[in-house]
Amino acid sequence: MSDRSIPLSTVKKDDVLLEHKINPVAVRIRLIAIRLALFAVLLALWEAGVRYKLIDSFFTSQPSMIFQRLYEWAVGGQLVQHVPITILEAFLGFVIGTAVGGIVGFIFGWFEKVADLLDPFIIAIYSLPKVALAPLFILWFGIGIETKIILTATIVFFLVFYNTYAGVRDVSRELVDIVRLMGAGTLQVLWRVVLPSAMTVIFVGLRVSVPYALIGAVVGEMMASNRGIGFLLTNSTGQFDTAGAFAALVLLVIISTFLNGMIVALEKYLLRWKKTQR
Amino acid sequence: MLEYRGVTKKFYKRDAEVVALRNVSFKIDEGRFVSVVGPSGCGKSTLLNLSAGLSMPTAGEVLYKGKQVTDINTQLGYITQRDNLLEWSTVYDNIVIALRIRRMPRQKQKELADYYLNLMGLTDFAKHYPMELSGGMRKRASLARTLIYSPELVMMDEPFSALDAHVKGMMHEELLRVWELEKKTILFITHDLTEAITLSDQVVVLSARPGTVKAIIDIDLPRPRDPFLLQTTPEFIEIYHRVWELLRDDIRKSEAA
Repeated sequence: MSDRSIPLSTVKKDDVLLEHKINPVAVRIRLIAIRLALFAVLLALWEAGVRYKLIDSFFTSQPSMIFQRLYEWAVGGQLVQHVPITILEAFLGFVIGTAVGGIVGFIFGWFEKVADLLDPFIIAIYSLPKVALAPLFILWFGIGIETKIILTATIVFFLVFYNTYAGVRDVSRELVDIVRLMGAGTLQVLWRVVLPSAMTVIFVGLRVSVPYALIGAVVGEMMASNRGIGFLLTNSTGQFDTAGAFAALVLLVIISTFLNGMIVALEKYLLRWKKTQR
Repeated sequence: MLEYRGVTKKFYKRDAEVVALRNVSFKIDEGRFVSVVGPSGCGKSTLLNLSAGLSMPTAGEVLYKGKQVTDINTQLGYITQRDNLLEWSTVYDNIVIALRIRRMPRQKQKELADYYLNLMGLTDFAKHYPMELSGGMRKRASLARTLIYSPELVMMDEPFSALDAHVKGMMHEELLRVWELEKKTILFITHDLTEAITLSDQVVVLSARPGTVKAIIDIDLPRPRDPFLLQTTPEFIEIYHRVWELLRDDIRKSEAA
């Protein structure tokens, strides 16, 4: 469960022996340049395809229109009205889901008996597609921001919970014994050994959770609301405005990339011992 | 210092009873280097867990300085086969962890750490993370981490068995050098006979499961010892053969099981 959804760029490549000396900065710059060129070519093809009537603009819109729509939204105040809402929902849901999932996962991992007792219940709820809870949440919490936050938190909770649980379970018993012989009490064992040791696995959960946090927020907005990017999306398609729909998707990509970047930065700092690997 | 009196330890694997140790009695005097050898699965590691108070004997008793071990024994140091360093901490932070746990003043921590880093040849690696170290350096770091809080007795559970032959030899030299200096009591578990004889004052031979004491052999080889030279002397070879004779049948038995 935890292996998928991890960006390709984080897959570790082995150091290979090369025939020639290379300048890593130059290689990097060239790579980025080629990527940008590729992106530009794709946009140009899209635009040209629509202009020369090879593609029907009604279904695919075209890059110039999409940028135009984004510009209109920026000027017309729609961006300020809708974007922060979605970010806030995703962010708060993410934080709450992570906190609760982390704590519960920790308790389950540390107290085996609790885990044994509650295991079937957790499995049952886990196998439920969480977005299916959205209609009930709307009934319970209304169509405001609360429903989206709770939906997001529920999705994130399970991802973080499972990884934290596995991480705490995996902590070396020997290491715990060694530290106890040094005179460490339970709190010190938890703080100095179990938490940092589980952190690697917990972060896998966090990173996988970012895109899911947006799913919670956007699905919630699409079902019932008059604000947020999910609303922009359904509202645009409702008016057959494909440019608007694509513009909303662009916004989601930007937000998702940004949130993911924050997690990666945090991970780089907290797990800096891993980056020094030879 | 440490005494096993008629110690028996049973485990349960589902319904089956597994006797790890049966009526084991021997003792380790202060300042001695004692090795326990035996075929795999003879309950060597169980002995350590009992002395550490991590588990309790089914029958008999374990005495530490004349008192029965009933709780975690924090006078001991424990070095395992996997070095169990804290991967997320630098070598320095790894070495001082016991001192931090014991809330020793920072300055005092630094002094001790500097001494042991130097003793183990790790001064230049203080700021490195364990992942950047070689196998031998990791071992020296785990040794430093244990010695720094001066436990009275150091238990070592096959500490060098994952190292290649040359590094292992160097670690033997290193360990002997430090031991001559610190005069700790050491309880060393291994299945490597050469290692046991090279390092120890006394070798306790355990039988195949259930582990019982087959023989206790004093190793009267002169000290200080040079592991590489020692292993080619006639005296060493003579002792080696004697212990091997004792062990051979049991190793066959445990292989067949």
